[in-house]
Amino acid sequence: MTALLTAIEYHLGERIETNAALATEHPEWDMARLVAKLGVRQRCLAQPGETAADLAVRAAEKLFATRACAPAEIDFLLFCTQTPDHLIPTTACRLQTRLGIPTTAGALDFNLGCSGYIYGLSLAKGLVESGQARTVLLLTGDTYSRFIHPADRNVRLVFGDGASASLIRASASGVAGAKMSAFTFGTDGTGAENLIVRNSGLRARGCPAPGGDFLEMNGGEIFNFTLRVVAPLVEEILRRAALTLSDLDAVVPHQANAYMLEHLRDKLGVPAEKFAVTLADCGNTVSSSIPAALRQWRAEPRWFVEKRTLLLGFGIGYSWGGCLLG
Amino acid sequence: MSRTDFFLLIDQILAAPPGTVLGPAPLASHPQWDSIALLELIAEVDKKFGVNLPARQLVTARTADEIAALLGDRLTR
Repeated sequence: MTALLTAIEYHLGERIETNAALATEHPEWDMARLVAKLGVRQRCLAQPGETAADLAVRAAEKLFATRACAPAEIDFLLFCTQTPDHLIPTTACRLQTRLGIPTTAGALDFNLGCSGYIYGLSLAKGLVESGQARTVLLLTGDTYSRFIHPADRNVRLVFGDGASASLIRASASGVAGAKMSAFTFGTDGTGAENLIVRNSGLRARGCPAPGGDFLEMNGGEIFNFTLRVVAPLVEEILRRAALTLSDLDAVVPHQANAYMLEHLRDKLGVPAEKFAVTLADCGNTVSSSIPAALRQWRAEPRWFVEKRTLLLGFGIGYSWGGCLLG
Repeated sequence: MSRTDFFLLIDQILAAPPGTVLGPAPLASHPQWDSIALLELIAEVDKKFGVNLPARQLVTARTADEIAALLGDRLTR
C-alpha cells in the first residue's frame, strides 16, 4: 500500500496588518529597508478570540468543499500546532467533533513548528502504509500573533497566522496523488532557547519569566542554524532518492523570511523559478507555510501531483526535516 | 579577503560611507546596526568564507575590529 498526498487547502487569518499600518504605529521603524530584506508586505492575522483550531476548521472545510473526500471517510486526524485551544484536552479531539469525522477515527495533536508539516506527512504515510489508516487528514495551524510583542520588530514583521488541511490516502483509493519519499529528519535541542515563549507551558508556572509571555527570537542564531543544516539535509534527501538537484521540478522551503530564503536558494544552487517564495502577502505561518506555499505557488491547485518536489522544513526546536513528493 | 575589504563590507551593510566603522564610534551607535545587519553580515561571511559567525558574539561586539577577530587568519592584512 502506498500513501499519496492527494489534496491541500489552506486558510489564512483574515485580519490584515499592512506595513503602512505598522509604519504609522512605529514611525521609528525603517519600513522600506525592512520590507526589502524580510519580504513581507502584510501579515494575515487571526481575529481576536480566533484560535489555530478555528483556522484549521476553515482549511478543512475548504478541502471538503473541493469534494476531495467527505468527513465520513477520514479515519485518522493529525493536528500540528503550538497554539492549541488548551493543553488539556487534545485539540484534535474537538476538531473531530467540529468537522464531523467519525468517532472511529484516531486523532492526536503534535507540537512542532516550522518542520511540522514534514513530520505530519511522515506520520500520515506511516499510518497508511502500515495499514492502520486509509484516509488521513493532516491539519496544521498556529496563531503566533498571540505571542508577538507589539514593539518587537524582529518577530512582528515576519509572523502571520494560518492553517492548512492535507489529505493523505491509500493508493488503492484510486485517487491521483503525489508519493512521498526520502524522509530525512534532524533535531538539536541546544537551539531551543533561540526561538521560545518562556511562559507558554508548565515549566514557568509559579515563577513566570519577565516578558516571557512573548515570542523571543534570536534571528542570527536561527539563521546560522539553517546555514548549518539545510544544505546537508538536501544532500541527504537527494542521496536517498538517488537524484540530483537538476532532477527536481520544484523546491518548497519553509517560508522563514525572504532574505534567508534567497541566501539559502543561492547557497543550494536552485534556480529562482524552481524555488517557491510565497510569504509576501501572508508572512511566516510556521507549520502551515509549506502546505500553503504548495497550494498557492501555481494556479493549478494540484500541480504537485505531477511534479518532483523537494519540501524543506526547519526552525523551532531546533527541528528540521525534508522529503520528496512525486 | 583583506581586513580593509571586510571593514568596507560592514560599511556597505550599514549603508555608511567607506571608513565609517574604523572610526571611534561603537557599532551600536550606527542606526542600521541591527538584527537585519547581523543577518546580512552572517550571510556574506557564509558566502565568502563558508564560516558561521556566532550571532551572540556579533551582538556583543563593540567594534568592527572585534568582529574581524572572529575571522582570525581568514582575513589578510
